[in-house]
Formats: sequence, C-alpha cells, structure tokens
Amino acid sequence: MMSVEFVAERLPELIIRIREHLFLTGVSVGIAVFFGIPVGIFIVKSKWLRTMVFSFAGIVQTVPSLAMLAILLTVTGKIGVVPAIISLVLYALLPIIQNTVTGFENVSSSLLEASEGMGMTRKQQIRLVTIPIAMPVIIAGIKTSAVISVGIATLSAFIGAGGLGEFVNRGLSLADNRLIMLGAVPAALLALYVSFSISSFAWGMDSRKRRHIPVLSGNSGLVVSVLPLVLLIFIGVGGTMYDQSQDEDTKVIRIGSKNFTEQMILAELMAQLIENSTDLEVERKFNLGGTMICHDALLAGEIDLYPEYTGTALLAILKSKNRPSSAENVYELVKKEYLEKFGFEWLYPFGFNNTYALAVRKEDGRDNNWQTISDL
Amino acid sequence: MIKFQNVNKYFDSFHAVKDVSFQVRKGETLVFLGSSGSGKTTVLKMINRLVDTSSGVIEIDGENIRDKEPIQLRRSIGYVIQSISLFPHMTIEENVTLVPRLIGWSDSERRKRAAEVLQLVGLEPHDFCNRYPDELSGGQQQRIGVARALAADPETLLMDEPFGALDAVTRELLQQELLDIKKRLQKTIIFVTHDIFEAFTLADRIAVMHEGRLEQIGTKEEIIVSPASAFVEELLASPKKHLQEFKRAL
Repeated sequence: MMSVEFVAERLPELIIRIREHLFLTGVSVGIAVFFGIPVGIFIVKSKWLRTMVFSFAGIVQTVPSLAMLAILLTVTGKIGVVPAIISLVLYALLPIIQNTVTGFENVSSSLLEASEGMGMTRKQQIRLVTIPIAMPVIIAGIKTSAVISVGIATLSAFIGAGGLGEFVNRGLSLADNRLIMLGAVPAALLALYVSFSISSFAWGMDSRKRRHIPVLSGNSGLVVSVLPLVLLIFIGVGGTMYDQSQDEDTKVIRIGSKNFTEQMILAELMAQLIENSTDLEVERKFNLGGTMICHDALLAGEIDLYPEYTGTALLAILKSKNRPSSAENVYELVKKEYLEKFGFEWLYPFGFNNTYALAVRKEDGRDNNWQTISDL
Repeated sequence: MIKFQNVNKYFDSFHAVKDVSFQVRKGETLVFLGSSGSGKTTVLKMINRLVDTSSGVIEIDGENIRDKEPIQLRRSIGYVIQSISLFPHMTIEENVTLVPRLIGWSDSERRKRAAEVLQLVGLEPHDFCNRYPDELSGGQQQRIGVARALAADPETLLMDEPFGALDAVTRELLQQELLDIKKRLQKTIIFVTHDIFEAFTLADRIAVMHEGRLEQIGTKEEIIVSPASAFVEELLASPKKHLQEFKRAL
C-alpha cells in the first residue's frame, strides 16, 4: 500500500508534475478551442467541407497516442513539450469541431429568419442568437476534449514532456505499483476536477439556471462559477516555468536515456562525470520512450548524447545483415556505419556488457546437457 | 405609403410573383389571402428585403427600397412570423426590446418601453419581464411576438400568419386585440393569411393571391359583390355554403 511518507517524500515533485500536466492540457485545449470553433463555424454550411474535416479529424483520432507522439517527433524533429502539445491539440480538435457544428445546427431556421427580419446584421445574428444558443453544446465539446487531453497527456512523458506520466513511466520501469499510482490517481482526479470546473463555468454562463439561487443570480454568480477554472489556470501557469530554454551562452550538454533503469543509471553516471570534470552544464532528458525516440532526438539535435548498445544499433537502427564474429568487430562496424550514415561518433565503450543469457529449469539443463545456446 | 409596381420574383426558373402592382395607404390594414404557394409570403418578405425583387419597383413613402440599406430598413419595420420565433435564451424583456437594442436605446429607455408594449398587448409587465418564452402559453408567446414588433414604434407591421398555430378561441382574442391596437396606434399593417374569416375580420382591404398573381384587390364588399375572377368566386363559394348550412341549422 501507498504510505503517507511515500507520498510526502515525493510531494514537491508531484506538485511540479501536476503543474506540467495542467500546462500541457491547458495550452492544448486552448489552442484547440481557438482553431476548432472557427473551423466548426466555417464548415457548418457546407456538407462537402464537413465531410472532409470530419474524416480527417476522425482519422487523427484513431491514431494510437503513442504512435502519434513518435510520428510528431519525426515530423517536428523535437522532443518534449512541442510535439506533445501538437498531438494533444490534434486529439482535442474533433470533439470541439463536432459540437460546434451540432450546436449551430440546433439553431432553428425560423429563429434565424426572425432575427434577420428584425434587422440583425450577420455578425449580430452570430453574437446574439447563434452563439448563445449553441454555447452549451460547444462547452460540452470543450469539456470532452479537456478530459481526453488530461488522459492522453499522461503519455507525453514518453517523449520527455513531463507531466504525471513521469511517475507512471518510472513505476513501469521499476515495477513499482506505488509510483504508477502516484501518477495515475492524481491524473484521474485531475480529469474529474477539470470536468467539474468546466461544468461550473457552463452553469455560470447560463443566467437562467442561476436565477433560482438569489445570491448567485447577479454577476457574483458568474464570478463564483469561474473560480474553479481560474484556480486551474493559475496552477497550470506555474507549469510554464519548467520549460525555460537555456541561455545561449552557457555551454550545455543534453544527455538522453531510454526508459529503463539501467539506461537512466548509465546516463546519470555520464552526467555526474561531466559535471565534475568539466565546466559544462548538463541538461538531463532521461526516460525517453525507447530506442527510436532517442535516436531521432539525437538526429534532430535535441540531445547530444545517450547510452546505446552495439547490438541494438546493428539490428534495430542500421538493420544490418552483417553478423560480425566478436563484440569488438560489432563495435568497429557500428562505429564506421554510424559515422557514414548519420555523422555520429561512437565513444569509447563503457566497459560493461549486458549480453543476454537464457534461464532454464535446472533439471531440463542437466537432462539435456545444455551448456551453450548452440546446444538448444 | 407602400407601392408595388409590376413586381416579379423568380426563384431560379420558378415564377413565384407575377407582375404584382398595388398600393397600401398609411394606417390601412391590407390582408393578403391565398393558399400556400400563392406567393403571398414572398410579397411580404420583399417589403423588408428578406427577398429582393427580380424586376419592378417597390417604394415606401416615395423612396425605392432598393436604395435603402436592408438592415436599417428592417429595423424600421415590425415583423411577426407564425412559428414561435422568440429567442429561447432571452427573457421576455430582452426579447421585446431587441430592435431598440439594435438601434442603440439606453437600458432605462428599453425597460420603460418593454413595460409599455407588454401592457399594450394585455400582459402585466411585472409578471412577464423576467420570464422565459418556454414558460408561456402559445397565445402569450404570440402576444410577445406582436409586442416585439411594436417595440421600436415602426410605422408599418408585417405579419406572416401570426395566429396560424393558435387555437380558435385564442386566435379570435388576439385578432380583436390587434384591431384594438391598430385603432389606438394607427399602424399600417400588411397581414398574410390563408384563413378567409381572419381576412374579413382584420382587413380594410383584401388582396387575393393565386399562383403568383394578384387576382383581386379591394374592400370586403367589392370582393363579395363583384369577384374579379373565377378563382375569387370559388374562394368565396365554400364559406358561403358553410354559412348557409349554419343558418339552416339555427
């Protein structure tokens, strides 16, 4: 079970992660609203445009989140917040566009005719009639998007964008359920709170619902209703602090790692060594999704260094047919090809080996007289 | 005064209004009578330029409406339609004072005016101002519709089957109220209906429309005594028959 001390010890980081999470979600949903509503309004009249936009948004929606992050990493050539936000925006767009269209369709043609006949301009029609009537449906779409985003933002940790997913990743690599819960439970609570604060805002916008509570029927009710949302934004703004880009003049080396313990230890060893022996500043971008993400990040110049295995490089990255006979030969081949293909330099080996070994039951090994893999 | 001169309207190839000419005097109620598809609603909508003419000229007080800004024109003319077209998200007061709001009246002027027009249509302002349309009966809603059209004190009211969806008793009541309002305010009213009795109740003059043509325009007596076409005669035949049967039964 999760003890109080376990949480208390990690509280400062938990707060940072919540802020990062809110920042990712808030910015993404904000951008999605900014583009989604005008797009919805624009396509509401044209069946053809609607089909186009909905098909596109629908396809985007079906791309698995992790794949989306990997694709964006390649497309943008960046790791971290930028691809994370782009992917969250893409997911958030569909419910917003869809509900905008539905909301606008809710406005009956006779109301529009009446408003036109009374002498409203096209803009006044939208401002005084269409938007107020469509608003509850549009807000419901924003709420759906926001809740989805809180969930998907958990995955952003795979590409180094931070957020509560950091705990989940770490928990997964360490097989520590408490860490997973430390990420998952606050994320779930956050989703509930986001949903609540948007509902509250929607309630506040509707003066008709508020008039039954005399204290809240005036502007005070509107103010009270946006408080939960304001609190959310206030906390989220703190998250902007974490992505300050480094000063151009200080010399920084950015070290990456894959998302398992050994990699993080190796990367941390390198980091401490560099910090102690040079005047370089180290920026740690550990716990990135996997081999391809690290490799792409290196290609894109988002990191300068990460620990890699000669075998993985040979098979996963170079996809070489060659099978050199010894560890030294693999190293030489990989070093040569990396320089040719990517302009990457393989540094001197760490001097440790994580060769695979097979584990079998003792009796099976004895009975079959297995000594080497070739004996199988 | 409103004047139509050889007005035609085509929707693509469909000739909806055919060479219509007539005049409406100030303070007069002209009722357009015709079945659906006769072009009567199109004629009405051409007056506030919801529909523009294909050819011909429409003048209001000697001015071609084509030279007027449609938005300004519409704000100067009251408009009531059949479907419940009150704005569901606005209170009765906000609904009623919408046109005054569009033309920039102050809050206090608008509040005062809302009370006046609500009283005019027989609703107690105190009871209704802060309620919403869906809390009102059909008759009350259509009264609000009339009040809304009167709010900016226009000279002319365009009414497109405003009482069509109401039950007979309520309709009768609202017709009488409209006559009463007209007597007090001296508005020019152009009214569209397919109900011959409604036409005879409200009209100073009746304009009979059929398949886009203006068959006859005249007083009730003129229409009854000397119908100008076979269609007008036929139009009156059925009510006459009903009336005779009704008398016999009495």
